[in-house]
Amino acid sequence: MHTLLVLTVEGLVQGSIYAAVALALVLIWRATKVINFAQGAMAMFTTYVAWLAIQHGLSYWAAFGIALICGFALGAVVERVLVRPVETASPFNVVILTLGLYLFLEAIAPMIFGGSVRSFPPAFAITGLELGKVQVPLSGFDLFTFGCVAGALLLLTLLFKRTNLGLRMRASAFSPEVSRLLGIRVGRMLTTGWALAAGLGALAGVLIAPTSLLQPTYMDEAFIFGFTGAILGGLESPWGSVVGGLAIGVVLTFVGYLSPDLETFAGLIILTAILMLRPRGLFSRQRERRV
Amino acid sequence: MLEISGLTVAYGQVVALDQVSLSVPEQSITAVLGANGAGKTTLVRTISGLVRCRVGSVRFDGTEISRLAPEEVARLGIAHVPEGHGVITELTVEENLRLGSLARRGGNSQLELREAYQLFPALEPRRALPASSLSGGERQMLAIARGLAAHPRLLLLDEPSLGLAGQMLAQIMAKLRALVVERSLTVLLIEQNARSALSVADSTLVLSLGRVVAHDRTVKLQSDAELLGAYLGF
Repeated sequence: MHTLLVLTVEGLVQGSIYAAVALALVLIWRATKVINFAQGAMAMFTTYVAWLAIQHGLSYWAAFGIALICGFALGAVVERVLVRPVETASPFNVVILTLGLYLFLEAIAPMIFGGSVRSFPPAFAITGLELGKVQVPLSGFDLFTFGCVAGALLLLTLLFKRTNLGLRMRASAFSPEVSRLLGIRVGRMLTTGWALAAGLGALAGVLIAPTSLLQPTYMDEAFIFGFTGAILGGLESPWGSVVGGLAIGVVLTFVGYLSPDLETFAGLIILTAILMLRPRGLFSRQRERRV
Repeated sequence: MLEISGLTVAYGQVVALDQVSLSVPEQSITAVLGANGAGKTTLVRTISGLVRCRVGSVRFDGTEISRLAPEEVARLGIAHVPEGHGVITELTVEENLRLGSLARRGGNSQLELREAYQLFPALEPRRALPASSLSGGERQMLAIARGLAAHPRLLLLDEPSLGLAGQMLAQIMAKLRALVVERSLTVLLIEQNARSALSVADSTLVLSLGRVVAHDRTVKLQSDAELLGAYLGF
């Protein structure tokens, strides 16, 4: 029973990172109808930049902030410079583009930052907390991770539901042509959407780095599991993607407990199963879309 | 206020508008009539910037707008209510209206919302519901209210009669008439349903196969039975 609780909690913490990646993917999907296959690699890159900042003596928090800012900037630049010119032709072109970006980032990261595995400090201790005499299977860093993702989700929800900017962004994603007729600069809204998504991805990158260790491919797994979570939740539904990410986290933690080697494999099995059986996800009301 | 000269628009090889020229006077309602495929919607889409013309000019208060992006045209005070209403169904009624009021300036949308509900009381009880829950006629009302929320100087209305029952349509036309006076509004009304448009328009333009075949004060055109028969079917 105790183990069950421990695993669930661990799974939720892990899942919160996948939820962040999943949400980032859904944000971009809703705005531009494209899966950003470079999402993980972009997060890897911004985390490396943060690592570099720490190497140069900056505090963890300064580096954390730098990672987020770089995430926003990178997202905006990618949308404006790479995606926008190609967008109108066909979504397929953009998919190829993001795959290309993924390969590019994974290739130049070791060139810029060196290829050996680096360690990245956690914000708080990763040892379990102690409440009085009880050893709790949660570390300060676990709470921080969950809290960050929850906080980011809250901010995004407030942005989209309560602000005029959020309203314009939603309108641009749902009906770009009508939005133009209403004076909305749809291009800018798309850039902002990409910037937010990339910022969210950068957050995930920094949160996962301490346990995964920093290397050019370290975000690949998180990307696949986040992607799976997004598909599970239904690409149209932001909350669905969050639930999906958390669910994947919990399931994989249980699998990992039973057999550590099977974890990644299990993730891929789940992804394949979803795509074969119910590609539109659990919470979506749309029909499938072939990419 | 709106001067169009020598406008030619083509979709590939198909010429949709051929050397169209017209001028829309301020504070008036001008109807654009014609059969299906005559070029009415193309005309309006070219004015609002969704479609690029091949040659010709579109001047709004003296400013050339034919090369502007649609969002820039909207910000100049031209509101285009597209064919099929263009209501964003994923958003609520009130969110749609708010978007309309954001069009001109980021200012106080509370006032514009009140005005919209005064104009179309049927929308108020539904304000928090998704626009997808509205009937066709209600969506059309929402689209018009949304267009008006921006306090535009020029309102482009593309076939508002689609999905509107005769009674409702007549009421809306009456309200537009009132707004022309109250708000110094100018309206360009595209219609296949000639009768409703003729009853409210000051001037009428008739398009056929991309060309202007008649443009005069409505009262004069109405007495020309031959013209009416040939192009408008009655």
